[in-house]
Amino acid sequence: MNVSFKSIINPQKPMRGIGELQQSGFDSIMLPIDYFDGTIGDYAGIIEKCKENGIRIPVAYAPRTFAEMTTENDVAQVSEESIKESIKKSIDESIKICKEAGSRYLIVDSCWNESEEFLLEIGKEAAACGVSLLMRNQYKNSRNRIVRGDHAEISQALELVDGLNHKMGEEVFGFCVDTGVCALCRNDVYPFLTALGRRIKAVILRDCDGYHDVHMMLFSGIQPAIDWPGVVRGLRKIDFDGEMVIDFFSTINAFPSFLRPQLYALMKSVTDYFCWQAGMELRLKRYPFRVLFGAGNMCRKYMKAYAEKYPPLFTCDNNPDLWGTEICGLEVKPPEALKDLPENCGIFICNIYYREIEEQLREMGIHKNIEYFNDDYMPPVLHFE
Amino acid sequence: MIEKKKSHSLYLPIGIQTKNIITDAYPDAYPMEGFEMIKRAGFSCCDFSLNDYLQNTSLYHFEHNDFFSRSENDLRLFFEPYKEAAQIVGIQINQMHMPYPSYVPNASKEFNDYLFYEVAPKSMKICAFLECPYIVVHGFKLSRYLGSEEAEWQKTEEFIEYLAPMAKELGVTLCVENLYNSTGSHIIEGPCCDAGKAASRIDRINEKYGAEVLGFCFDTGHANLIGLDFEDFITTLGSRLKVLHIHDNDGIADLHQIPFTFTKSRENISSTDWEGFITGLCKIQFSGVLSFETAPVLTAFPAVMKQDVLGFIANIGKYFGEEIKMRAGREEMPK
Repeated sequence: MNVSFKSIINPQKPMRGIGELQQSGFDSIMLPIDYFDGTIGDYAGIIEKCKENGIRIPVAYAPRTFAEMTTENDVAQVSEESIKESIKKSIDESIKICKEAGSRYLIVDSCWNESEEFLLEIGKEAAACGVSLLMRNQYKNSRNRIVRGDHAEISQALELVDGLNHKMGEEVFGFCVDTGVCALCRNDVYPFLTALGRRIKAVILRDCDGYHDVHMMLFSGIQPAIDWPGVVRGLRKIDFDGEMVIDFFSTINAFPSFLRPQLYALMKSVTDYFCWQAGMELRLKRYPFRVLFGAGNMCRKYMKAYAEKYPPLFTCDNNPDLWGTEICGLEVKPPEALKDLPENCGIFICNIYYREIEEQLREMGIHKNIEYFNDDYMPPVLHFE
Repeated sequence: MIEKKKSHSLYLPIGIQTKNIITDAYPDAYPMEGFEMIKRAGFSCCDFSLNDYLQNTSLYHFEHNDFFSRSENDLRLFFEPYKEAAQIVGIQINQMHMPYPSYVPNASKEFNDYLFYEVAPKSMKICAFLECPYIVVHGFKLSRYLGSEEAEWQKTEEFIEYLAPMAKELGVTLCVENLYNSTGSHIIEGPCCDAGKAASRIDRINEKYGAEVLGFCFDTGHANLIGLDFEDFITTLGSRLKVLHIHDNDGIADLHQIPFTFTKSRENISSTDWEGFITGLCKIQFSGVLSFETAPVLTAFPAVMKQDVLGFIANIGKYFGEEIKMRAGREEMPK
C-alpha cells in the first residue's frame, strides 16, 4: 500500500515527512510529479532520501499540464502545437523520473484530446524505460457542473487500453481507477472494476463528498460518497494484486500539523484494514487446503459464499456440544484436530474473537498459516430460479 | 400498426405524465376531466402512467395487485373511456410507462414470471390499444448480483427479445431509459447510462428484427443525478432518442420537480444542465415530444393550484421548443 506524499513530504526538506511516514508504518509512496514544477533534478533529493530509508516509489503521477483549461477562452489562448509540445515534454521528464525512482507505473491523465498516435509515441518511450502508462478515469467540468470525463465510461476505457496495447504489441498501457472520481461520476464501482479486470494496475483510494474533488481519508465521506463494499468486492473479484495508493491530502490539510503524525497512524490502520479486506480471496486462494475456526454465523456466511470455490476440510469450535455435528454440510471438530493438518493448510478464523483465538492456536504450538476471515463485505448472491 | 407522427408544426409538441392528473382517482373517476385539464394547460400530448396501476413500491415488497390479472378484453374495456376521452379532447397519448421493475431480484420464480409473461405483454397490448407509439421499460438492475454490466444487459435483452416480435407486430417501440441505482445511501449509475453501448445495442436489435422495436428514453433527472454530459449523451444517441422524461432535481435525490427549480449557487447556475439539453436536442434535430415527468409537483402544490402549475410547466415546454426551433433555424442559415 502506497501513500501519496502530497502535503506530507516537503520537497525542500523531505526527511521529516519520510520519517513520520516510516514511524506510522508506511514503506512506499506515490510520487505526484505535478506537485511542484521542475525537472528531474528537483526530484533527485526526494528519490535519494527514499532509497536511503527503504521507501519504495512504485507509482508516479505525471503532471496534469493544461488539464485545468475548461473554457473556450482558456483554450483559444494556447496553440494546439504548443500544448502538445508541453505535454510531451512533461511526460518525457516524468518517464525519466520513474526510471530513476524505480517506478513501474506512471499515471497519465488526458489533458488535451491526445491522439492515439501521440499516446503510442509516449508508449514507446515508456516501454523502453520499463515503465507502464496508466490511464485514469476522469471527470470534467461542463458548464460549471461535474460530469463524466475521459475514461469514466467502462466501454471507452476498455477500448482505449486494449486498442493501444494491441498496436504496441505488448502491455504498456494499463488503468488506474480513482475511487474519488467514481464517486463524482456516480460509477457503479463493482462492475466498473470487474469489467476492467487485470487492466487495473493501480487504484487510488480516497473518499470524497460526491460533489467536490476532495481527497479525504477512507470511510470519512458523507452521503453519497464511495461505495466501499463495492470497491472491496470488485478488487476481490479481479484478484487485484497491483498498487493501491492512499490519497488523503485534503484531510491532512484540515488537521493541525501537531496532530498529523497521529493522523498518519490512523491512516495506516485504515489502509491495513482495507488491504486485509480487499485481499481476502487472494489469501483463500493462496492455500491448497483450508480449515475454519468457528461454527457460527460467520462460518455459515463463508459456506454460502465460498464453499464451492474454496472448500474447507472442516471447521472446529471450542464448544464441545458442537463437536461431531455439521454446519452447512461441514464437519465440526475440536481444536485439537488442527494439529494434524496437511502442509500449506490455511487456518481461517471465522469468529470476531480473532486475537484470542490466534493466541489459543499459538499456545497449542500452531504458529503458521493463521488467517482472519471476515464477513463484512460478502459477495452478493442472487437466486435465479 | 400505430403511426409514429413526426412534428411538422413550427414547435415541438409538449406532453406531461398523467399520474396525479388522470389516474389518481382510479377506479371510479371518468378521465375526461383530467385530459381537459391537460389540454387547457397547453399540452397536446401525454405520457400515460400505466405504472400507476401496479406500483414499484409494492413490487419491491414481492407484492402485486390483480389489475393485470384481468383478461385482455377486460383491460380494453377498462381503458376504453381513457382512449375515447383523449380523442375527444385532442390529446395524443405519445408514450407510456410499463410497470417496473419487470424483474425483482430474489423474488420467487412465480412472481417474476407474472411480471414477465403477464404484465409486460398486456402492457404492450394496452399501449397498442391506446394507439401509443412508445412504451418505456426499465432495464434490470442486476449488475451487483451478476458482476458486470454486460451480464446485466443480457438479462434485459432477454426481456426485450421476448417482447420484440409483439412490438414489431403492434408497431410499438420499446424504449430503455437511463436509470440510477442506489447502494446503501449512495446514488450510482444504473442500467443504460453508457450512450455508446446503448446506441450499438439498439442498432443491433433493430437490425435483427428489421423494425424499430427498440429506442431510448432520456431522463433528465436521472442524468443529473449521475453526472452525465447531457449534450454528449443526447448527440451520441442521435435518432435513437425517441422519448423524454423531463424533470429537475438537486443532484442528490430523484425529486421529479419543475425544470429550473434547483440551482447550484445563488448565482443561479441551474442544478440540471438545461443548456446542454437544448443544445443536444437541437443537434440531433429531435422531432419527438417534450414530455414532462413531474407528477410529484402536483401533490406538493395545493390542489386548487393544479391547473396553474400545469400551465407553468407547459410554458417551460414551450420555451424549450422555441429555443430548439430558434437555434435549429440559426444553424440552417447560410454562413
